[in-house]
Amino acid sequence: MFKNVRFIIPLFIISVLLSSCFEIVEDVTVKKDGSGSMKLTLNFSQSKTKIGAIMLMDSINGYKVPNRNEIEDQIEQAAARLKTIRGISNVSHTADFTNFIASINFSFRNVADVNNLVKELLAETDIKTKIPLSYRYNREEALFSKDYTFSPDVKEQFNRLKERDKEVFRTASYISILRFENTISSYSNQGAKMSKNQLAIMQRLPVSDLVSGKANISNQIQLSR
Amino acid sequence: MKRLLQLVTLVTCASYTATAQDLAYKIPEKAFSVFSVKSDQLFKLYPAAEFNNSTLGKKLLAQLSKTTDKDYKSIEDLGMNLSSSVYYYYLVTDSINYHGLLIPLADSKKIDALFAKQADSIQKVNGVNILPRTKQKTVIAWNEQFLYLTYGTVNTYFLKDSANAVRYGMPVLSSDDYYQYNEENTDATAAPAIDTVAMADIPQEGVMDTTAYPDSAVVEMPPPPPVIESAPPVSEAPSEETPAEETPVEDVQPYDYEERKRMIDSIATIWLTTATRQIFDKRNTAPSILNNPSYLRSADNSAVATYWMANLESLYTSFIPYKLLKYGNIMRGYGNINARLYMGKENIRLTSEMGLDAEKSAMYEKICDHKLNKDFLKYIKSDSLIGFMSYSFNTEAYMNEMPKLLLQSYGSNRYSEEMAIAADLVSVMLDEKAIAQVIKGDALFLLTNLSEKQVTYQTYNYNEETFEYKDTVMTKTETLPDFLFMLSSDDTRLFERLLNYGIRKEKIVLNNGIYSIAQSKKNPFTMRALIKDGIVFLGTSLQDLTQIHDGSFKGSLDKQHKELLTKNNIAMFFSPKSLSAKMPARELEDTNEKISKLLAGAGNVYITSAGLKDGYISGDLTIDVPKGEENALKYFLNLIEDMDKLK
Repeated sequence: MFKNVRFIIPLFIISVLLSSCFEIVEDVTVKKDGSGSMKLTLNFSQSKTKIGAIMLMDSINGYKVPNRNEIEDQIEQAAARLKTIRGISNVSHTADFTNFIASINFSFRNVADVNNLVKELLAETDIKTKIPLSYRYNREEALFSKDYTFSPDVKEQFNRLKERDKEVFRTASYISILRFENTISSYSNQGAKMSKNQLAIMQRLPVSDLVSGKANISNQIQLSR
Repeated sequence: MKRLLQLVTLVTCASYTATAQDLAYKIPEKAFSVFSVKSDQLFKLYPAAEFNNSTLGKKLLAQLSKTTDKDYKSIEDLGMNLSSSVYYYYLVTDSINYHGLLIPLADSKKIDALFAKQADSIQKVNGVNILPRTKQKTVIAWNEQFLYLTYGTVNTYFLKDSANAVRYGMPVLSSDDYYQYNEENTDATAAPAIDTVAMADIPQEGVMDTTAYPDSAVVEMPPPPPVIESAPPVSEAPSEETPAEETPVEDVQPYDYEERKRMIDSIATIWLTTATRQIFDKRNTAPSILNNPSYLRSADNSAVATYWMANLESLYTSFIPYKLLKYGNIMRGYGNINARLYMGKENIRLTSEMGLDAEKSAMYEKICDHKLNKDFLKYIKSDSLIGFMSYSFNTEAYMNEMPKLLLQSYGSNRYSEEMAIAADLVSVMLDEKAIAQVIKGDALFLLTNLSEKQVTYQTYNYNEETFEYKDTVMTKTETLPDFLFMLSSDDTRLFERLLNYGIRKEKIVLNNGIYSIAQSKKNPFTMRALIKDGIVFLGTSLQDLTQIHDGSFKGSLDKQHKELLTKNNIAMFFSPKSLSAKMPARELEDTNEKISKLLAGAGNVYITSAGLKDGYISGDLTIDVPKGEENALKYFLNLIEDMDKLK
């Protein structure tokens, strides 16, 4: 009993003082034939003090705090599920519980496989929403498109959050990197930035801009043939 | 002397008249729990006129006006007597459990007006207005002095019993549905009170029985099961001679849930109505909760609210099925519970107590017989402290008493022999003295400061040429609490060995007598440890520990903190004001600023427990009323309003 009580006061203070933030990195490599690989990284390292403190507790604000084993199980399950999806191979994942960073890697035969993956995962979780993000690759025209449809549902849910919780999303960043084998001749989204070697394109923005509909991450990329 | 006697008589008479108005005597002697609110105390702190104009008061009145379709401008318009106490009680019987609410009235005409629409359903008996509401399973009744609201839940097993079912004209269920309530009731240490209503004659529907429902007769009834010779309550129900199988009630499908529910509800209403009439007929000479000394202990007139509950053991036995009970009664020896809330000019105090039987008292007395290490006090700086928590118990006594406690709880059942062997085994295996040498049983946790610390984190460095990225380590400033934990030990060898093991495993570094435990995933702080003079120190501040090591630490303990720490077995203190003062400016943005303001204006919080007194263990929660606030109630209501604004 006393062991737990001892932690309460510092934890209370930690939760008052620390705002948490995180990074989502989406790194996609597309080959000429449309196959490629994807790496998704979730980095909570900047909030590790807070998360470390939260993980010492059983629950916070009425939510159950999962323990390390439960989180690992979830990641394992997600990876196992990915392996069964058509066109998806080389699935691997890492979870670092010192810095609170998790990542998942996989290869796809065609960018459509990634759309299919998102669809299946959404269907499984019973989320009845349109797929917000999809990729298209036209091999003949060497045109790659990333289509993001903003969903007002998401904005509504975001607006319902308390100010404190909104703050978490404001400080969080979303980074998207698209890599190609051919050089990029033009791209439509001016919020994005091209690498010096012209083989990659990057866009970085606060997660809150994404969920509130303020920013657009759709992009049409014309590659040299 | 004569004058003095006159004065004493006068005071006694005055207080007698004061208690005569009090409705406590209406509460049944066997009530299970009682909650009371002393309106006079409340409105002394917050005069009605002021309350009506407060935000909360306005909201409440608007809400009331809306739900009742009336225009309430003042709390006094409700007709309540604001200078007398409101009581809630809970009574458990074998057939029905009652929730009763007693509200003293100043103006019963206001209540008449409130229920004017339901005038047709109101029965008038001896100046009492009774409004039964079968659907809600409630009965509302009032006379000129008070309003009584009762709600009841029928114990389903009571009407599953075939004899009871026949008596109340209910269909008899098959034997599979029997609940072992007989077994449970007879085995319980304190059997539930006998249902007073089931004893009494039940009136025919529509006929007002104005004869007596004598209280005294009720109380003198023999123990359960109650036998009732009266006619069944439902008017169309058959007489007792008619076998149940041939009754019209049989036409109803025994498992027709809705029908059965309706019948139970109507029986409940009859019981509730009868009980209501008994409450109004009850005189203050009849046995009541006022005969219970443990209740009287809790009923303090200077408290704003009081709560009392009959002993835990009987609660446990009345709720836990017999099947589980035979494995042991973990509540054995724990008595009644009470809590009192005081609101004064200087503080809010919630004090709660639990009674213990003689055996448990003796055990707890030994366990609580330990004082906090006086040397701890040297390391407290009261003026800058954010909070502390201390505890002191006698480890050796605890280790010795623990097997006995287990034996008491689990020993008087079919496994008593096994439990006795297990208890002895524990004693043989553990060397209580040796354990008590290592951990004496007292410790103090001090929250000393908030300080900004550099914390590393991992992020990515992107190559402009290719956008390939590499992991990089960055640092940022975080505000973390500083603390110091102290533990008494007469034998520190075990701790030393543990720390040395850490050094060998390269997790701990020893420098100038101070052990440093590096930051890790579970531990955001760099912790320092020191063992000196039979105290194990664990803290975050290298400066503090170095000073303690050198003997140059200068503490400044104030009188209040000293008293809290030395006179209690458990003490906790938290100063929101010093927390707010130590918050770095960088943190004071947006919502944090509001929180900081709230903290700066909040009073200190204390929790204490001082061990055993008159066979009761107790705990106190005190919140100081900050300067500038008129009294505790106003402060509390203002605080709620401020917190509401935070969202």
